[in-house]
Amino acid sequence: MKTFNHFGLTDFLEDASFRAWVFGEATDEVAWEWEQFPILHPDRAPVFKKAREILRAVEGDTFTVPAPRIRQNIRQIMEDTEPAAFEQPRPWYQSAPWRWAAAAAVLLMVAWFGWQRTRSLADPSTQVYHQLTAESKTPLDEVTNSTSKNRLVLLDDGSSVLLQPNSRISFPKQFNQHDRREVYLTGEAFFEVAKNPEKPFFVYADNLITKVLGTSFTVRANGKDQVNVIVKTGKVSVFTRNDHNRVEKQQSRQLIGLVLTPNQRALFHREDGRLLRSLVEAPELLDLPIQQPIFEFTSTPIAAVFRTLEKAYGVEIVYDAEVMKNCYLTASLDDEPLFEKLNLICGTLDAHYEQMDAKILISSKGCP
Amino acid sequence: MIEAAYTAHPSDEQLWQQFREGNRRAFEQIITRHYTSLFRFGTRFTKDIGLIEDCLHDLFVYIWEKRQSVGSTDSIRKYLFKSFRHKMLLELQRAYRRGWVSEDEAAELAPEQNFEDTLFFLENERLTTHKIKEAVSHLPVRQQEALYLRYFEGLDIDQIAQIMTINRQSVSNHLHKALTFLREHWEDFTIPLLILCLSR
Repeated sequence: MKTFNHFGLTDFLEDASFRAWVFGEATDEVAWEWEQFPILHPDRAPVFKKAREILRAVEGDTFTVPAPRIRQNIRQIMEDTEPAAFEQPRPWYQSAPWRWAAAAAVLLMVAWFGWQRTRSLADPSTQVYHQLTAESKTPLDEVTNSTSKNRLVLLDDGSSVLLQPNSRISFPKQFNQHDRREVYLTGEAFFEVAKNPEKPFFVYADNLITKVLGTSFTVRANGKDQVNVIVKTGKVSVFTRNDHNRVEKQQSRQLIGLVLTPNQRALFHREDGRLLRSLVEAPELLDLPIQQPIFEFTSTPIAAVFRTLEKAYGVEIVYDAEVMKNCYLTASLDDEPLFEKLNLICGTLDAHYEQMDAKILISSKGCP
Repeated sequence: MIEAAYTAHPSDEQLWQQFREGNRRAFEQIITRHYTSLFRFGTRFTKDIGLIEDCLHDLFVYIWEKRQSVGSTDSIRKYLFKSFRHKMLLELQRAYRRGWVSEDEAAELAPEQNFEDTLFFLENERLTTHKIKEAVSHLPVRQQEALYLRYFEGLDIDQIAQIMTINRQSVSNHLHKALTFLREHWEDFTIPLLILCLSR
């Protein structure tokens, strides 16, 4: 039997049974007792009513969704954390950050956690790399960056790759003989892929395949336990090499499979082969200068523009500073490949560029 | 008030331990136990159901991924409320920066409203029972939140302090101020009401 020695406001508020009654969660018996309270204790009825009003006010305009919907949401969470989650991914248009997918471009990163500074041939990422490049039917070019700086690699299709230290990339000498663009990576790189929906671009890194229909992304792959694919802008699809629907996913004109949109990431766990999707909670993972929005120019002297590009791509740009001293650029460049950026800049300034070794030569008659 | 229903289930410590060991059923049980109250708590910050659901989805996916590295907890509810609250505020700020949240919702993110104005408004307006709701809604948001967590969710001061990432004393102050305010302004109309009751 409950005791009802309530006098002050907080006596009521602090009583869990009273609160349960107000919020409609009390048993019939308890509810009946509380309903009798103001009748049995008219002197305390005002405080009683006051406490009830306060609780209702505290509940405010909060609400819940219907139970079936909650069950569905919970099922979704269970499915998305299921070890085989990548087999039946949530349609991309239902996924959480789709609302934030505005840009069409892709900035993607495959990151390895458990980074090893001194990688040996034994590390799984490199093993896979050797295996895949050996199996490739087309002759491949390989670029290794053993320096401590980023190295710019320009691909035949106009895409640019910023290869990070201790990284290696293989790619066909010419893409146009193939119906898809396939590159192999171990280590880390930032990709800006030239748009060509006819020829999807694939990055093979460790056990993951990342498919892009256009634009730009980063891949980092050197570590142990997990591969991490992060999308900054745009859309890519990710699947494992062991995926039995892999052929279909690769050949589809759409991006199917685990589709990632901005601020989403796919985590691949090596030991159990699971591929999971989640939100990026630390956007600072995208910390390369090139990934920052630094390509906003408003009446910027051309020297400063070129300096920005040199820094972002680690490339030397040669131009006549004296001739171009009156040239200013107003442009908003984002994640198009370096060549497209140069095309845009040169188009605006009526200049031309050519590539020579690792340098970009700009020729211009100057600006009025 | 909700705790009572759970006494037949394993304790939080046991459940959490099972979850950290990768027990899927324990994980599902945790979600099922807390989803509704977390959702309701979310509606304090925004009325965007989709956003709340997304935050909850991502929160649970995240803790599943991180289950091996999360620490032990004496109260799963506290842990979830704290993480969820943090995430909601972060996402709302992000959404606001992108211009997807109305001004009203963004204003709720402001740490304190102009309480003086409210006070002035209430001093001049005679408070009656149906006005209590309004009075509560005019309290500073953090006082409202503390009231909600204490009296709707039945959490204790320590738990609220951790969820709201403020110290115990601040929680007590919020609650005390809120109740004092409501009590004081209530006296204005309790007397006629009392007379009415006694005269019956």
